[in-house]
Amino acid sequence: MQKRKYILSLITIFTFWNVGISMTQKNLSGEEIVKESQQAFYYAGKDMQAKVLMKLISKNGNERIRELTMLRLNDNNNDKQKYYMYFHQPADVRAMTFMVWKYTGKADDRWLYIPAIKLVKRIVADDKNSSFVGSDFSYEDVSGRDISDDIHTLKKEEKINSRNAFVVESVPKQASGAYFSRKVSWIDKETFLPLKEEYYDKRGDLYKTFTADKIENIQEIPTIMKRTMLDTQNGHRTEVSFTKVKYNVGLRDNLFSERYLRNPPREWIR
Amino acid sequence: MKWYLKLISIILFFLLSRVLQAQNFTIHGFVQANYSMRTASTKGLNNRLGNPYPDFLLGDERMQIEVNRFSTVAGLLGKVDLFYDAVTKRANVEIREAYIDLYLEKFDIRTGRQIITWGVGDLVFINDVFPKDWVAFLSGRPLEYLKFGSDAINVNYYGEFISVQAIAIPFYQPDILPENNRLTAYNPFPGAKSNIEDFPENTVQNTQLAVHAYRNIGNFDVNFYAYRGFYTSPPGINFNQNTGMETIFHPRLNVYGASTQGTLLSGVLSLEGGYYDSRDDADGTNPAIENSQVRFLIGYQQAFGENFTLGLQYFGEQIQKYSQYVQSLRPGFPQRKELHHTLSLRLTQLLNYQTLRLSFFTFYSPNEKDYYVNPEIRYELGDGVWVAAGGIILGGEKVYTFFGQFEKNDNLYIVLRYGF
Repeated sequence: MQKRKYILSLITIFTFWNVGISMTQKNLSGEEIVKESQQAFYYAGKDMQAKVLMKLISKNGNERIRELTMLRLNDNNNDKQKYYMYFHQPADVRAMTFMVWKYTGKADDRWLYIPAIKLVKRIVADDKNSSFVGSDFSYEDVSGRDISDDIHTLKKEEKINSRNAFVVESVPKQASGAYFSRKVSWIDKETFLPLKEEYYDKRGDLYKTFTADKIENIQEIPTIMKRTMLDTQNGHRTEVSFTKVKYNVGLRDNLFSERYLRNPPREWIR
Repeated sequence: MKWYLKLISIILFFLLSRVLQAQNFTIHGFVQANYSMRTASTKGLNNRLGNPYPDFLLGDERMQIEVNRFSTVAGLLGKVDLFYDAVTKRANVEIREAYIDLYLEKFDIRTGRQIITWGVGDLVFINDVFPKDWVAFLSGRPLEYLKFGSDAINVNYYGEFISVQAIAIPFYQPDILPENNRLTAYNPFPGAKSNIEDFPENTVQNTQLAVHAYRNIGNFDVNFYAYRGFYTSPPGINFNQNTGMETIFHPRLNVYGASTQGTLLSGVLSLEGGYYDSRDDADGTNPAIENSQVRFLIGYQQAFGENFTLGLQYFGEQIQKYSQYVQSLRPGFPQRKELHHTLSLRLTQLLNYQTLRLSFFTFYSPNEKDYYVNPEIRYELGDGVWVAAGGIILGGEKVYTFFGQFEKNDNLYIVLRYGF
C-alpha cells in the first residue's frame, strides 16, 4: 500500500515535470520562438478589424495624430497577408486608402489611393527603413520582418513586468538588410507576444525601444491594445492604441482590391 | 455681389452646415492662400489684351468645402471652391466635384461632376484624355488642380476575371491652356486680330466615350483603354489671312492603349502606350490638325534608405504619316521631329518624421532641348496645416517647343493650407 502510494506520487511528479517541460521548455530555439511570436503578433485570427490611433509625440510634447481603420486578412497558409487601411485623420490624408499585399521572401505590393485626384498608384517604400506615415514605426514594424533575414538566439529567460519571458537576440544576416545591428526581444512565454524590444544601431547604441503597454484578451486572443515605440536618441515617440478590435469577422478576399481602394467599404471602416 | 448678398450667403452656409451635420453628413475642407510671382522679365511684351503681362501669376485665396455622406448602398459628395483671384480682382465659385454613387453587388455607378485619372505616367498622360488645367500646372498651384471635373456617367463592373469601367461624357470640356493673357506662350499666328472658338455641339453623337478594362496578372496591374471623342488639347487652329481671324476648334480623336504597373526587383515599373487616331486628319495632310501619333512611356521608381525615393521616366511621341506632315506643314512653321523624346526625373526626400518634404521634378527633352524644372520644399506645421514653396523654371533653345515657349513664365510660388 505504502509502496503503491509512493510509486503513484512519483508518477504524478514525473508527469507534471514532463508536462511542465513540454509546455514551456520544449527547448524552443530562438528562431522557433520568434516564429511563434510573429504568429501571435501579426497573424492572430483568420482576419482582424481595428481602429488605430497613432500619436506622434516630439520630445517637447508636440503631438500629431494619425487615425485609421485597419483590416487584415491572412492567406490560408499564412505565407501571404493583405492589409487595408482607411485614414480618418488628419485633414491632409483623410479618405486616403492604402493597401498592402504582403509576401514572405519577396517585395510587397502596395497601392495608395489619392482621393483629391481619384488616383490609385503603386508606391515604393523600403520596408526596412521607411517610416510608416511619419511615425517611429517602420513598415516592417507594422507588418513584420522576414524571419529568415536574421539569426535568432535565445539568450536567457527572465521576468519582465511580472511575466515570464524569453529573451531573444536577433542579428541581421546581412548588415545592409536592416537599420539595426542587433535587436533584443522579450517574448511572453505564455502568449508569445513581444513585451519589449530594444533596437541597437550600427554603432551598437540603443536607439529605439518598443513596449507593449496594454494587453487584453479579445475573443480569447491576447492582443496588444497599446504600444509605444520610443526613439531613445532624440526622445520622439509614437503611441499606438487599438480600439474596436475584432477577429474572424469574415473579411472577403475581394475587399482587398482597387474597387474598395476607390470606394471604401463603409460597413467595415466606420 | 452686393455686400448684403454675401453676408446672407455666409449665414446660409453656416446654417446649412449645422443642418447637414445633424443629418450625418460630414463636412471637411480647407482654406488656402496661393501666390506666384514671375521671375522672368516680360519687359516690352504685351498680352493679348494689349496690356503688359502681370508680375503675379497667382494671387489666389480660396476656401474649399466638401460635404459627403456614404452608406453601403449609396453615397454623395460635393466639393466647392469659393475663391478670390487677386490678379483679376474677381471672386468666383468652382464646383470641383458633385456626384452621386450607387453601389450594387457587382457594379458601382457614379453620376455627376467627377475627376477621372487614368494611366501610370508621372505627369505624363497618354490614355488619360480627361480635362487638365495646364495653367495651374505652370503657375505653381497644388498638383490636384492639374485635374478638374468631367460631367459624366461612370459605370464600373467588377468581375472575377476582369473589371470594366465605362464612362460617358456628354458635355465636352477642353484642357485649360495658357491664353497669352497671364502666361506667355508661343503664338503661331501673331497677326491674328481676333479669334473665335468652335466647340463640339452637345449632341448625343458627340458624347465622349471611354472604356477601361483591368485586372491583376501576377504582380502587375494590367489596363486596357479605349476613347472616342475629341482632342482636349492641343486644339486645331485655322487662320484667315484676309480677315485676320483665327478659328480655334477641337478635332475628333480616338485613343487605344494599355498600361501596366507592378513591383520589379525592389522598385515599381510602369509601362504605358497609346495610339492617337486623329480622325479628322486620317491622311495626315491637314496642317491645322495633329497627325495620328503613337505615344509610350516607361518609368521606374525606387526607394533608397530612409525616406528617399527616385523616379525615372522616358516618354516618346511618334508622329504617324510623317512625310505627309512635312509636306503639308504651313510655310514658316517650325518642323517637329518624327520622334519626340522627353525624360523626367523625380527626387523626393522626407525628413523630420515626414513633416519636411524636399522634392525635385524635371522634364527634359534631349531632341528639343527644352525643360521644366520644379524644386519644392513643403513643411507640415501641424496636423492639416502645411506650407509649400517652390519654383518653376521653364525654357529651351527655341521659343516654339513645348516647354521652351513658356520661358518667360519662370516663377516662385507659395502655398499655405489649413485643412479641417
